[in-house]
Amino acid sequence: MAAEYYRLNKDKVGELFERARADYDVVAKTRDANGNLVYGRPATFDDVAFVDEQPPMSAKAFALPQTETLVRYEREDEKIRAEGPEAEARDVLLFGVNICDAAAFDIIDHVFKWDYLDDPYLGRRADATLFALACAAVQQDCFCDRISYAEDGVDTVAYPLEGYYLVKVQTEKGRKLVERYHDLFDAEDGDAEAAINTFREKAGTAKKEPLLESARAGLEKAFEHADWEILASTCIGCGICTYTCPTCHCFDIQDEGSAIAGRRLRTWDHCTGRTFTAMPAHQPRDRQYKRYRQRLLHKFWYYPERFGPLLCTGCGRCITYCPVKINIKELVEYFGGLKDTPPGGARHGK
Amino acid sequence: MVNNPEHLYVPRLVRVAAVVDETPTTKTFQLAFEDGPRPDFKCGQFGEFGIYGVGEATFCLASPPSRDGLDITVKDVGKVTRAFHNLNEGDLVTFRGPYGNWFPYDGFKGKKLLFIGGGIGQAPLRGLLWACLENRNDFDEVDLIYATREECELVYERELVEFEGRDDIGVTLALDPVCPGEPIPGWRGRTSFVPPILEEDRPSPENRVVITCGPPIMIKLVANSLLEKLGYAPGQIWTTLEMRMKCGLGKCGRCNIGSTYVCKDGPVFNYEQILSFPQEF
Repeated sequence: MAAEYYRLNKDKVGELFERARADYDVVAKTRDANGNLVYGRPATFDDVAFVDEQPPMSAKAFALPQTETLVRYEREDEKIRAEGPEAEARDVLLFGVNICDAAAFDIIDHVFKWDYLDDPYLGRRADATLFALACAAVQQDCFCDRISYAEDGVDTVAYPLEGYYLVKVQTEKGRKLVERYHDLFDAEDGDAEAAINTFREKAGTAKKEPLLESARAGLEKAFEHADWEILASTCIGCGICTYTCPTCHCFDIQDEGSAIAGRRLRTWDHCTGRTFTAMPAHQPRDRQYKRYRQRLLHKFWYYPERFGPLLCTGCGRCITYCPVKINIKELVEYFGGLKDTPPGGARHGK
Repeated sequence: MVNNPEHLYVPRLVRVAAVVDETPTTKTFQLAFEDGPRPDFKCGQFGEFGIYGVGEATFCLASPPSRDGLDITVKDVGKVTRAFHNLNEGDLVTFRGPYGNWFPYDGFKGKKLLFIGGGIGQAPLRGLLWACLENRNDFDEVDLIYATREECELVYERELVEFEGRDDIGVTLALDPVCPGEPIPGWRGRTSFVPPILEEDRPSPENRVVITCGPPIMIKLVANSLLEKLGYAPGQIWTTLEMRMKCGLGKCGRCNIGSTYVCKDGPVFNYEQILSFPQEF
């Protein structure tokens, strides 16, 4: 659908939140009991955290939970009964989610809907409405200005302007949301795209050349570059980059329980771990730098080669939370030939 | 896109109809479908097999589709395979599949076929080998070279003896040379790695395809020998790759080599494709 633009006065956001809670399971940024920023379920509108800062964990768990049951089984005498989980019919509204987290869903949809349809993921995805909130300023380590990911799959994006939100509606799900609470929204008559561009220039989120997409040709020639071993072998394989990442989607399937009763479940997994590809007689990625290289190339070469978009929205969490300060953006620039000198400085122990 | 069964990850239950001890560490399980017809499959495909409470593992379908049920051959090397080795006739296991692509059986018709198996790598070749022997007139020469480290590691021993008694398949068995050139007392086959056998017997590349599976190092050395010493083109060599898998459905990301999903684009690959992969292995 062609985008539509509305105004939402800032003093009406609370009413929108409260009314939406009657129709949706509303998820928003809030503080947990320890004061940590999370995507959670605020008890009241006052508990919603209107900050640009990203929660450490992205919003992907609302479509791909960290752990989910695939099969429940129970043995009775000589018989085994097994069934899939009940379908959860539940409309979720991700209210005020960062654009980088919202746009990630469209990117990973590709893998869950090509060939076999992954019903558990796609079901939750179909039930989720994204109401994203644009950042007023770039955050620590993020680089969304360097990636041209499509935002048109984000149902609505709200840009905080003086006194009101400029709401851009991009999908039918977004339109349904605005129609439901139409009395809170006013038509936007001005040049909305110009206002958005001005906002993004000021926020520092307007796209800047060279985009990281342009690194791919260089990356395709850099698989055997000798510096992988130097620059990526500091990786300790902890997997924090993948767990916090909005687009990392690799998973494991494990049984939990006994022979009598239990469940077969799906959990997040990570390619930087030693056991990810280890087989009894063979370990294809037998060095840590090879496992880190897999993560980087999957995001910036293999996934776009297969499905189109980069497997990254530039949220920067993997840089912020890396215990050994590996900087994926700098490595993409270097191995992709956008920069001639390897990343240095404190992040690489110089 | 593929029409899903009701739940993509909910397996069928299949019953262990027979257990065959192949080697001290390997057993073949003949599995029977009791909850409905066995799904159609093609030679080269695989399945996710499991035991509730232990987990799933990936095994190739090791019998020809013309036979009832299906066979898997399992080496005791890990948690799930150990649990399989503890199964008895009548036990129930889980099955999802068949998954993956298959050998281009029809494309092989009229050609000379050279099967080269190494160790447990004979299992993915077995279904195709039998399917070809069942329709023997569709093919020109059929030969098998099968190599293991030790004699006790030969799987499908009874079938090998049967093949040796037939005149429509050439069989060469080989054991790893402990001392190169020294024959092993009492051993009926050769004592050699596979590449020297190829370079000695020199099967001509004319109208022949080679179908090989075994340890990655064997596949690589066999391919190098065929390409560099015997004049084969990469397109004449077919193999099936073993990678760790979980879903088998092109989702979980584990079996990727570059942008290739081994579980969907493979496990059967032409060597031309393999040469185009990032040289990860």
